[in-house]
Amino acid sequence: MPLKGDLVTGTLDLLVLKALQLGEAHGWGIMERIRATSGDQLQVNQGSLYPSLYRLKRQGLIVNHWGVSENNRRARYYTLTAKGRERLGAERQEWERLSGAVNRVLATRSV
Amino acid sequence: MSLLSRFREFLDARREHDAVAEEMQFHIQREIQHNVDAGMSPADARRKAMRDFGGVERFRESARDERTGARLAELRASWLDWKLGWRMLLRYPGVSIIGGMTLAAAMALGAGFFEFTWEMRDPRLPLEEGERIVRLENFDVAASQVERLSVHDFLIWRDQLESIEQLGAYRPIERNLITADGRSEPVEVAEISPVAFPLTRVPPLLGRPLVEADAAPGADNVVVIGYELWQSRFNTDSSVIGRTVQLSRVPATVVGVMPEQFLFPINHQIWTPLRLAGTLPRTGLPIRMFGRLREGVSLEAAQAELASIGARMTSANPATHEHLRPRVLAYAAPTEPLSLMVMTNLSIWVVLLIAGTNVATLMFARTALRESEIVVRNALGASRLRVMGQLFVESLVLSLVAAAVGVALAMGFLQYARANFASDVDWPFWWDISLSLPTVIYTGLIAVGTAAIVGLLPAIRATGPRVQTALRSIGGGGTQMQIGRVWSALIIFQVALSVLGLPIAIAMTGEQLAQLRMRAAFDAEPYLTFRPELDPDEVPGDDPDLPARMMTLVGELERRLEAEPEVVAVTFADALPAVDYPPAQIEVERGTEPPVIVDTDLENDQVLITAVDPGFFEAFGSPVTAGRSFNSGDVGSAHAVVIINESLAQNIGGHPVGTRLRTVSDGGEQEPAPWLEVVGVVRDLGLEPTAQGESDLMFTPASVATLPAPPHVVVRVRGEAAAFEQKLRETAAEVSPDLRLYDVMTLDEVIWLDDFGGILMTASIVIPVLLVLLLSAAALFALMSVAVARRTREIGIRLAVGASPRALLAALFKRAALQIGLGVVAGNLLVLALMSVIVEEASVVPTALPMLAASLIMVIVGIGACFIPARRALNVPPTEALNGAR
Repeated sequence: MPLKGDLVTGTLDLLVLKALQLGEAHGWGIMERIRATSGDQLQVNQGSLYPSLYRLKRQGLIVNHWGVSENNRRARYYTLTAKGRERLGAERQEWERLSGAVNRVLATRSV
Repeated sequence: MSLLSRFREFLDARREHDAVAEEMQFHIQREIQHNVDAGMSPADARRKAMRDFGGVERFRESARDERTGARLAELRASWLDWKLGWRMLLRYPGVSIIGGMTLAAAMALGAGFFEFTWEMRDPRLPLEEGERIVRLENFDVAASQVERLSVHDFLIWRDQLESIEQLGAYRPIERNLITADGRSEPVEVAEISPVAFPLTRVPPLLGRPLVEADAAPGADNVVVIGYELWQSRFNTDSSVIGRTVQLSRVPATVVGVMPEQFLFPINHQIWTPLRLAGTLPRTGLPIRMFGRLREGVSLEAAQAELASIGARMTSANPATHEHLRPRVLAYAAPTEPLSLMVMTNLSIWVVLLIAGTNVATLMFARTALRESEIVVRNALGASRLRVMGQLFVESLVLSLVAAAVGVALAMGFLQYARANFASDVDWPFWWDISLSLPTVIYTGLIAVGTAAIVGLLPAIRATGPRVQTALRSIGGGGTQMQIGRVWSALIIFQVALSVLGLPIAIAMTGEQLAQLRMRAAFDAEPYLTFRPELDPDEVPGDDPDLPARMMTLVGELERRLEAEPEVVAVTFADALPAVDYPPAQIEVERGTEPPVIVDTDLENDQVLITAVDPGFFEAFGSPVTAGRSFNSGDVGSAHAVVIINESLAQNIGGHPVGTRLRTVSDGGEQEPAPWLEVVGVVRDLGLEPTAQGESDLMFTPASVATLPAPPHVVVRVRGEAAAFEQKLRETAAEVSPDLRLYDVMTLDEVIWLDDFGGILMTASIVIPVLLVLLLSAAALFALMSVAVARRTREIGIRLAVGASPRALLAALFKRAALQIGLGVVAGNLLVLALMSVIVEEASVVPTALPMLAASLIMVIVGIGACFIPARRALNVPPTEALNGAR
């Protein structure tokens, strides 16, 4: 399967959905969750995170509500919807298929 | 979408905007705390958080792009775009001033023409049911003009026409209004059918309007005056009713004052009853007719009825009526066909298009310098449409500012025109050329269209598919944008146009300045000038006694004026010095050889000819330097004599007194004019300068009766001429109540009016030339800026490895120099081509210097324009260039 131009955007959406599967979180929390769970390998840019959040919200994959944060401030929390959960499953399969294919290519021994 | 839901959406957007702001604030706070927890000082923690975040506003923008899904919404301008557009105006003042001036000039033209044509297109009478007021005309199809001698027909129409009521007529005449205080000034009187007053439905302010009884034969003479006249001549005195005034020779009682807005039929301030007696067809007084369409009758129905009456009259009077076609028109019918007005406005669009394309070049350069910003925005998720929207709004800010300035300029000019001409009797009262809403809307639309040209062209190029390439090179410090072929051609064309226009502008300015300087040396202060006219006898048409009466009255006036102690001299001529002398070629007799045309300083070897009173030279203190002055015996003598000025004497050469000369008709096909003997030479007055000095002038002797038109009389007084006006008018009224004095002005004013016309003429050439020159310079500046911006990194590296700055400069200048060079060559070729078309004997010598000067100016301006960006390039620190930071 050919690589799509919006691979990076699509991947970020997948990471955000996955981060929210672990529980509701605010923007900064999602960023931190991705950083921590990737072992500091993935640093999500704020400039990409929020556009991604609003995009997912518009698509009905996540919803938000206002709550109180761990440091006692008002924060906007995001939660995965049923539709978002469904999409996460599909995106995840797609990702595994794609990364598996890439891995197979890379594992090919030279002749 | 209903208003309510739109309002709700607005509220939602507002709420969401606040929510995002709060969310961002939270994010930054959380990040700061995180940094502090990691061991940073609060100040450092904050700084790092802010840097990582990279500007709340910018971020909020791209976030919003994601929230509003609709593609169209991407084009929606945000408040930030407007703010940014305004900031851009201030940040690039060169682009703003030059581009703004160019657009403002073009838009002033557009707004002014539109306001005027909009008003002319469908003029409305500002009267109650004014659209039902009509004018009636007897159109002569053979002569292709309106037959005004229509009293005979008017009386029949008034009896027979069913579809038009309140049918009336008027005749514009000029009379002296002489008031009790002795003031006598000419006024435009409307001799009008009393029915005009009920027709317009405007009640008088004081007293009564004219009534039918006033128009009856033998009725007392009465007059109704307008508001302005009441103010200026009667000091707004309400006891004016019943007072007697004199209209030239006729005394009349003031019976009413009309309110300010009543100016019917055209722009009148004084009305007397029109008395009409039955006459034969096409004889009698010249009249204009008006009426009101009867309730429920259309213009077409009225026209049909009038045509059928016309047809009956034609069969009754075939000899006089064969070619007459009576017609009914809306009273304020447009004077020009609509198509012509549309064409005029379209031609201004072409000017706007050229101006817009030019400014687009500048905007392109501005955009090129900001390419990295555009690329970053694009990478942050702003779509191409979104970025184009932003660039469009930036241009819109510029073009709206230009439109505001343009409208203000146009309105200033129209105000000036109104202040100076609107009280003229030829300026119809229904022409209102103050700023109208349609003009504001039109100019606003033009501004949007201009912004599209100015902003979108560069935006399309700046946001094209290459943005991805640019993204990769952005760190390298260089733009990918280039000035394309079309713009290069435009620059060359403008350079050529500047080179073409500059010599003309330089020459015109030089001539104008020389004329102003020369005329300033002439002491015009003691001269008061005027033009006398006489009321014709009541018999219309030519008055054969008029010249003789004029001669007697002007002679009497002259005698009485000369008796005044403050008057030095009174004289007259067919034209005033400094204004409108007719030119002609003359040839001079030399012994037995065939006559030769005198080589003079004016174009086509012409001399200016004027007919003057024998006392003219003495009155102007212009001494006779050879031969003699005119005497009364010279006027109308069989032995025709002339006096010439020193300039002409020099060009004739030798001793000109006694030589014979005559005017040459065009092409020499007609019979040559009779020979005239030069009897004297007078000193140059210094009012008709040419590049070589005073124009060549030839004077012929004249009396008031021998002149084809009323003379221009000049009174020389001791002290200030303007102060003598009142005395002059009183004396004229004493000589005869119907001797009307027009254009009473000091010679200073006459000369200034002529100079002012010349200055306007010169400015109309010089300003566009300067603007084109400025635009060429700005375009070259833009070109060079883009070239430098593209190669900043390369220049820095080359300088770092030891390249000579001179070689680098040469490389940078190459393209700009090529365009300047091509433009200068093309401009000079154009000058030569035009010269060979306009001037028959094209000689390069007299134009070589201005051409050289123009080329030099262009080269200096062009190189100067390139200098600043070039210096910027050479100052790039090599380390910065290598780092890619700019």
